[in-house]
Amino acid sequence: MSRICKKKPAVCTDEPLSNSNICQKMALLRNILSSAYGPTGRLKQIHNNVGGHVLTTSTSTALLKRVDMSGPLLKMISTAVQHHTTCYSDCGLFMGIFTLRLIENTQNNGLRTAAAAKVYKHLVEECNMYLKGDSCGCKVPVDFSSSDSIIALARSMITSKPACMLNSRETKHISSLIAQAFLYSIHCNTSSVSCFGRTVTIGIESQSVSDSSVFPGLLVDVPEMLQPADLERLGSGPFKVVLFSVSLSGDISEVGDVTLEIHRGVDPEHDLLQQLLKLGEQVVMDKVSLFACQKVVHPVLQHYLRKHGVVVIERLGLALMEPFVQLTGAQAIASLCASVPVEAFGMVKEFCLQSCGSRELLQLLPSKDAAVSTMLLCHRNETMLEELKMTCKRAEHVLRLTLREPCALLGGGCTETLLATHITHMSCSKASEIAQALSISHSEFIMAVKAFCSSLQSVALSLDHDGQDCLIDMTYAHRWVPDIYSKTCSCGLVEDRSNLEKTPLNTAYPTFCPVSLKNTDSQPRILDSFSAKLNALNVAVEMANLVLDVKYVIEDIN
Amino acid sequence: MQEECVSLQVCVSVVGALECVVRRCLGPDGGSVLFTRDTGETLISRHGRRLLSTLQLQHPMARMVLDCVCAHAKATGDGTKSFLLLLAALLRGIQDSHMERKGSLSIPSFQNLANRLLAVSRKELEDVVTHKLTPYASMYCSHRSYRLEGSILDLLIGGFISGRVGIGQADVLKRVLCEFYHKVSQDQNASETISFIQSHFSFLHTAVTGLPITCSEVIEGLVVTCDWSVWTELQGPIKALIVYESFGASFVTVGENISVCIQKDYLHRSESVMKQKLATLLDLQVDVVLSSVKQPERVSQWARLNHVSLLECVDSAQLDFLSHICAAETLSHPPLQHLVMLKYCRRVQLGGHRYACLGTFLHMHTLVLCAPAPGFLDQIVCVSQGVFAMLQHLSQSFCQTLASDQSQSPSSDQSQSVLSSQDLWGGILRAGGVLPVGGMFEFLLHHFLLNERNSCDPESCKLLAEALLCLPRTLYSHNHRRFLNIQTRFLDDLKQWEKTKEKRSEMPELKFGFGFGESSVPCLESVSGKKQLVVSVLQCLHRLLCVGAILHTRSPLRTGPQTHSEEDEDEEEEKLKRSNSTPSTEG
Repeated sequence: MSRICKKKPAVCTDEPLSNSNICQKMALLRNILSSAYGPTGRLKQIHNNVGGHVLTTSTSTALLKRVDMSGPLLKMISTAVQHHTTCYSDCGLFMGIFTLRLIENTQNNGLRTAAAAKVYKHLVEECNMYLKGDSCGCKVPVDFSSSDSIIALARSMITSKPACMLNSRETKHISSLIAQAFLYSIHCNTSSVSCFGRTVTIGIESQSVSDSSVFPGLLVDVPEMLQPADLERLGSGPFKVVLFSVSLSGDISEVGDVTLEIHRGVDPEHDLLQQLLKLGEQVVMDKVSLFACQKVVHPVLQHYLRKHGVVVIERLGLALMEPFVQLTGAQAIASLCASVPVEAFGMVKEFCLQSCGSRELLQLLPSKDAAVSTMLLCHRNETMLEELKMTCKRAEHVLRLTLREPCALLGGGCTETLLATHITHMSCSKASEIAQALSISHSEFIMAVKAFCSSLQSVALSLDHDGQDCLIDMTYAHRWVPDIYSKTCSCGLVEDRSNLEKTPLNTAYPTFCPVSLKNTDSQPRILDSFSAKLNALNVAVEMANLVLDVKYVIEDIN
Repeated sequence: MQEECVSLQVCVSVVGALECVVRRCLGPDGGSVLFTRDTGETLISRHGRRLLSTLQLQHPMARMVLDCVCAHAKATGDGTKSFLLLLAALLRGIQDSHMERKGSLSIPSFQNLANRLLAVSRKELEDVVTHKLTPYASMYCSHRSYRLEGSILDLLIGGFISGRVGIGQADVLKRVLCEFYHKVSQDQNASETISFIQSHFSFLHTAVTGLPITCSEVIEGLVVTCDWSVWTELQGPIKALIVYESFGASFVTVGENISVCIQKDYLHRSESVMKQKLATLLDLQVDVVLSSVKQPERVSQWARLNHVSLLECVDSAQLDFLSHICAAETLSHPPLQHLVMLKYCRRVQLGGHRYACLGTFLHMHTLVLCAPAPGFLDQIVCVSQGVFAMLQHLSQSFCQTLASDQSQSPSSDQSQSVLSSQDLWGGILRAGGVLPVGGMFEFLLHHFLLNERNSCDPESCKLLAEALLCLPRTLYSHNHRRFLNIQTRFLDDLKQWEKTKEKRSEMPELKFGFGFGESSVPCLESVSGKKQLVVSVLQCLHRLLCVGAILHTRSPLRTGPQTHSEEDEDEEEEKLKRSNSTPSTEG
């Protein structure tokens, strides 16, 4: 019998944001996130106190998934960031830092939350209008006719994940591979653009990163008994393919966990095997060369098929079923008894043997246009490989999102500084009208604008971790880092010249309207995903408003 | 068994504790309350009813108040926070008046007072609302109707949600909800549309996390939150089959202790059974199969080969809804199968998930609500549902008054029951069914109650009138001077109005801004809902004041003769003992 404890009264917190304990926790989370931000971000090692797996990462997804938040408000912010990254795969850290900074700045300035929320909502709409508009200075079109901007986008994604541990040569290699895989996944004939093709990723440990490559078609482990001579004997393709999704192991597994009552004289396993062999005979008669099965194939059947020169691939797994279907055009058969219908057969153009390190792989090439490719990623150890695999997957997703909106934002913090300058300029020129329309006082409006813009700038400031000064120029409003080797701003669009006036970020300087750069030959080196950042900005403001709105916390601790 | 005496002091502190939770959430400038459990559940809300129903209340008085609040909210869908504030203000008013008199706080005197207040709600309140407040509201609105007519629904929705979601979200949500209503209604009977949305809201909306609320939209067709297992592009009218059972023999559902008998040729037999089933399917010539359970692989293979789309694991209640609205044809032979005709089938991408979208011939629309995090989303879904509950109450009470008016005059024709959207909302407006939000109702009622000349109980009227002012006071609590400003301006306007009314001349332009900016039109709220609120509060007060003592017993309450057992010590049940004078108000 369970012991009945007296119920404890719930813990109530009035005005949670003025509670120093909660503020401290928020500042800690902000520190964790902002110190991991950017290409020079500090790595975080996560392990629990009873040992086990140690994870080294700097990405928001991996970080927030494994760190338990103690406060309910923090938990909400953390889930919001995770939901954003599942939709957009990028800008999770940006969103987290911006949300927390906005909350912090509002508290520090002692702004009334209802007023602040109104202004933030207004400003984020202003941002949306500016970023979506044509006159936007921090947006560059992505040109899909050349691979330069695709590679630049992919490279920015990889460099901002320092836990991948890549040097510059490896970064270049991997970013071109990502672009290549992305291009493979787009169908050539534009009539059926309904969905993308598939990129299957295979990771191989303890190999140099430069061994990574992208192959068209599908790579599967070489079946055990397959000799190169068998492939030669097949001659040249195309080859007929049959695919089974039902288990061909000869067990009676379908019925589940029930008592079996077997009549005298009936041998179900023997019957099944006979049926399997009949199936094999049928397949050989249909002149099938590749026999694939999602699950296990009975050894006797395998032997029979091999004897007749059929290549057998078993245990394909559920994850590879869809790419396999896309590649071959075969349809998965779910029954042992019915004969295979003609339209269920597929085609493979060719078989090749590929080897990478210790692994031997069989490459299946598609007979017609099928947007299936396999990315072989190699790295020195498991942790780095995991991070690299995740990064590549995310980069590909970001590239696909770019296809919907073919533009990108300037990276390296230049978008943030430019946007902050633009917003300050716009709002200060029309301050009293807007304040009246929002029915708040003029000073409240000015203070809220300041809090918003300095939060944006502090995201740009978080890119630096070495105690360097961050500067902003007073003409184009781009971000600069004092560096004797580099002659351009952080994103690489603006070139330095002697008369360009610069001032440290987040200090007092007069407002100005940023000049947009016209007729320039230089291309930005660093690009950020447009849709991901736009969504992150919107969601961050909404989350900040929500958290600021919380006036009372009731914690049930029973 | 222990007895706890109930004094006014206890009532005030219990209701005060509840008031403390909700008072921060009142009005557009209020905030929200965050709840967490140790299980990790979080709830963030400004919605009074949700807040109160989440609280685990120990004190029996508090639970009684909560019951009253919930009963009220169920009827009107609005006003839970105001309920508690008003109740607390009334209790404090009673306490203060007794302190002044230094009279003994005896129970009979409270009962007496409670009865008198209830009498006020039956007589004076009714009089004031029908004869003074409604004409005023009608006048006020007709004077401004050139601005209000088209947008009354927007304003009603705006008035409801502005106190329930954060700033900035209200605009977006209002726009989407209005669009949804207009698309669903399509000039049909307005009150039926509202009831339809209200009762089927769970099927008519889809919640999406990870996107900002501005991404919320209304899309055509019925969204089903799962992806097609087999998808083929289909054109034109589509014949769809709804099934609730697996085509394969499933032994899991039958029970645990079963045995399967394996006979000779069992493989071929089961195969031929399956073939037969699929052949009958093919005979039906369906293009789409909608299933509430997972079908065996064999069925998906069949679907792929025959170019049939297959959607599995659909919520069976949603399938029921679909077959209901599409007038499904029920098949006689295999039980539980329905045939429906669909206009189209699509795939939609919503926030990283791919869902199925079914187009019906009846214009069906789905409300897509987006929010960054799940707790936040709950709040928005809950508010959206609340909007339609409030509208339903408003339209029903209007239709009732309309029906009662017409029953008095038998000459009217019978076709009045079908009201178009325009008629309904315009009629409500002209009948004085709505007033601007922001304390106008309270100011008016306060004024009229104080100046009620032929009242038989001026003391109780004064008590109620003073308590009513607590609502606008809390609404403008961040800026007390604003409250005074508005009150003075309002009283001036009102005096002017009464003066002109006597002269029967043109009504002056009332400058009753409520801080929505002088140019913008204030949002609206329902007068009948507000009146119901005051009545419910007075009834609840009556119940509270009539409690003499609380008996804590350790045995569960039974209606029959009770036997006290020693083992039941864990169960702590409280029993309310009401003083025996008023059994009629219980329940």
